[in-house]
Amino acid sequence: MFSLPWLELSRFKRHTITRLAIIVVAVIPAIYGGLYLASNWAPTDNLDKLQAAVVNTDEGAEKPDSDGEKLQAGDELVDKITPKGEGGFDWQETSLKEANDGLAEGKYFAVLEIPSNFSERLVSTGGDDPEQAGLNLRTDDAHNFIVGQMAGTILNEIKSGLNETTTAEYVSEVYLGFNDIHSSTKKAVDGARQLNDGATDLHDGSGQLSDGAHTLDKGVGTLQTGIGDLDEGAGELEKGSGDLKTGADKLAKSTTEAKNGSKKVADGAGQVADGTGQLRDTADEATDKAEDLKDKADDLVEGTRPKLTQAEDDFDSARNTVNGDMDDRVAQLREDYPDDPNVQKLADDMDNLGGDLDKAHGRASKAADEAKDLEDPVKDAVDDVMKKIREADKKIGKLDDGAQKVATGADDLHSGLIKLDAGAGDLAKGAGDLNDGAIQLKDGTEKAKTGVADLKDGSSQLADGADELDKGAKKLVDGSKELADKLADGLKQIPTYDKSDRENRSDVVAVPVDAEKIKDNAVDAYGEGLAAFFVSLALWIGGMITYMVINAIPYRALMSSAKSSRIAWAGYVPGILFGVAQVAVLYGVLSFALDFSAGSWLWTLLFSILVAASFHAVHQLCVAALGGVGRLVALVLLMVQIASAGGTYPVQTAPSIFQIISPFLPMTHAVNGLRTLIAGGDMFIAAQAAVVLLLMTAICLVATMFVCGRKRMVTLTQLHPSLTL
Amino acid sequence: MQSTSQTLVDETEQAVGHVSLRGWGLSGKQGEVFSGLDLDVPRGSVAIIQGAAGSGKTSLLLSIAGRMRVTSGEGHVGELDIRKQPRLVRGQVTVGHIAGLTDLENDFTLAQHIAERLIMLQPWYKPWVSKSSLREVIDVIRETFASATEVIDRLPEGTFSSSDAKDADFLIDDEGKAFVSELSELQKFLLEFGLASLAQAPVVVLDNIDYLREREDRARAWAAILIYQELRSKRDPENPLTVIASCEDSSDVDLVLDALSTEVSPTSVSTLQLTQHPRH
Repeated sequence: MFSLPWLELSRFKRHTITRLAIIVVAVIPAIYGGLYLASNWAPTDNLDKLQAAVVNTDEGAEKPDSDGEKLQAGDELVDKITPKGEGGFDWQETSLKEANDGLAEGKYFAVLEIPSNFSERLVSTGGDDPEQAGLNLRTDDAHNFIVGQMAGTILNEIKSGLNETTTAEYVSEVYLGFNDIHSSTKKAVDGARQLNDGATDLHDGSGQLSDGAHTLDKGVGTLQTGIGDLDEGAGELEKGSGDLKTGADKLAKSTTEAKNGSKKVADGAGQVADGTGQLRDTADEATDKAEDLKDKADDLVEGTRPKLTQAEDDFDSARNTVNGDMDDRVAQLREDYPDDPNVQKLADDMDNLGGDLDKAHGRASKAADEAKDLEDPVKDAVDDVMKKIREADKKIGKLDDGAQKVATGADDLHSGLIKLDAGAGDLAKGAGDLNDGAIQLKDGTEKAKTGVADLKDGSSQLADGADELDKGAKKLVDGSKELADKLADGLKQIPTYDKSDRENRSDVVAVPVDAEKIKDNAVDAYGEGLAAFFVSLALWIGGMITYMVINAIPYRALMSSAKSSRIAWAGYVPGILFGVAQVAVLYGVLSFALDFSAGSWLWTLLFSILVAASFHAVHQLCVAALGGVGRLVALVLLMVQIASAGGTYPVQTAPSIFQIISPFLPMTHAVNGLRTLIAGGDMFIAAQAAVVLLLMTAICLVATMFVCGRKRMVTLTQLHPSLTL
Repeated sequence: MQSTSQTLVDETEQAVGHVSLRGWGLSGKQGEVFSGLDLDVPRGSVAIIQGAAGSGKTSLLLSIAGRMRVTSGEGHVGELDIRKQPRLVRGQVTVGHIAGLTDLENDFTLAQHIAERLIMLQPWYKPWVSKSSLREVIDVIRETFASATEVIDRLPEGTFSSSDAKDADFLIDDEGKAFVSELSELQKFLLEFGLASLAQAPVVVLDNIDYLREREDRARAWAAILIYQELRSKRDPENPLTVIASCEDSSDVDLVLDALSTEVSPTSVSTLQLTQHPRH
């Protein structure tokens, strides 16, 4: 079974030296990558082999809120970093001079100075005037630049460690403060509750006050109306009492007059009574006489005529008497008592009597005449008359009784009027007084009215004020309730911390972000991080060596009729076999000698083979196309790629020319893919890199094929070369 | 600057393997290498390019093989225009020996060399050759040598003998396990010729047979070429081999042709004399 790659390799089987050459080709990348990575595998793990000096000039300081307890932060720091393996370097406490001399001559790689005010500054964080505490680290780049960088990292660690402790202490105080705040706020809540209760009472009171004030206001309104009425009444009273006074005066005057008049009446009535007494007497006498007359008439009836004549005479005289005397006297009475009905009646009766008497006389005359004619009728008539006389007598008796009574009444009237007059006098006087009083009352009510108006204004204001007070009290209630509630809510939100809680939280707050521990796909060591770059470099060099030892293309084949693709492939396959061998040896060395571990071994190996394949394609192309010059080109490409592959610092940190060419160079993608796979990151990036490398491999192979096609044409220069590399 | 042809070629039969050049010229940076060459090589014939060192023999052979660009003239290999279709011409014309271009790998065995050449001739999808097929090819070579030895044995005394055939035989062991470095110059030359013949192309070019320092070796080489040409035309009359070889001194050829006149009959043997151009 023969194949071109095997044939190409079998060239080397013949001599020991060529067999060794094969081994060398396979091993060189492992030597190159292994040596470099071994020396740089974990430099930072061995910093404790470097001596460094710490100079402590700290004077200490008194801790705040403590009974003279002293903080010796400098000593603490020295104690913390000087034990082996604690502070990065191998720290030794020295004097300043020793440290400076040591740094200058390279004995010490770094000098850490702790200033005299270090503790003081640290303590100040809890005080009124906090200041940052300073540390001073010096390195000498003349001895080692990288150590300077590392020292910076170490200083950062020391710094953050210190910051952690001081911040934790400070924050612990803050948490204690929270407890104070909590208890104070609790008091405030209680106070607010009490305030709220008081405000509620106030609000109730102010409600009542407001109701009362309104009632008062209403009452004052009513009072005002009443006082108005009173004033009006007092006005009327004043007027009335004025009238009353006038009237009473008039009354007093008229009662005096009446008194005087009634005296006259009494006198008159006395006289009337006297007259009627006499009339009575007279009437009695008349009656007696009439009786006698009757008897005589009776006798006349016996003796008639003489007697009638006599009667006629008698009537005549009686008539005369009555009509004469009676009429005079009644007229007199009527004069005296013009208003007295009795008197009037009396007068009428008297007239009637007179009339009757006339009639009687007539009749008597007639009777006498008739008697002359008729004795019987006369008798009857006499009887009639007699009856009438008797009635008259009775009436006169009554009249007299009345007159007597009138007289008595008039006397009574008079004495009454006297009293009335006296009373009227008193009344007039009283009415005067009343009027005066009423005037004063009116003045009073006027004043009262004004006063009440003022009072009304006041009471209205009082009512309004009471309303506002009530409203205000309501707000006060609401506000104080809200205050109490909110304070209570706030109280709930104010945390309290016990001791262990405080310590835990202080630690967390002191280092709220622990950024160092958050690394995706962390690699185990510095060397493992660099491995992607150095594996790529090693494989590039491996490719160069491969095509230094084996032919890029079998040149004899160019003179045959073999296809160019076959020729290119025949030159490429042995190369790639060497590449596989190089990858295998390289990773063997890395994993067994350097505890290198890839994120995914299988993919890392496959990708590395792809890297080797692409690099070999490039080298084959270089050598096939340009011969010895191609090897120089490969060397130049190596230099260019070291600068632009982004193996150590990202290519973005390089000058822009490198950034521009970076994507077109295979090592860039080799490093990207390997880095991802070794660290175990995003497979997509590795896949992308793999695709690019495959593409580059294909491009190089196709180019080599074209080169082979061109190489079949020999030029004169090739026949007679002027320079052979 | 003349070519002589012993037989008139049917003009219509521009057959495969017929090489013709008209006004063929090459000039490089250092002046003209050759110019105005006219050459007709009928198929199955032998053309000898004769000229001193530096007269452009190698360049002419390479240009005929489609492996060097000329600057003037017109050339055909059969139907193919050499200047316009060099890739197809390269398939028709194989290169036997050109120093510096066809050098053998000293650390290869014969078998490896043959295997390498076989793989190169196979299509792309068959990049290997099994030991059995290699053995078959070696057997064919062995038979060819046997046939050639028979031809030599038929030759009259005083010309070539079987010892010459043995000297020429590069299959020094049955398996072909011997390394090339163990071969003589003649054997190497014939191995290169043999490898070129594996492609069974109609034309073969051979450069500078004079590099074989021994006169006997040169004669043996010529004899081997002519005998192989004869064997092949017998075996495959439709596909004879046209040989174009260059040398500084062609006197050996006539002797060999005389010696082999009974056994070999190339279509024609022509000689093209190249003159040294003054270089500037």
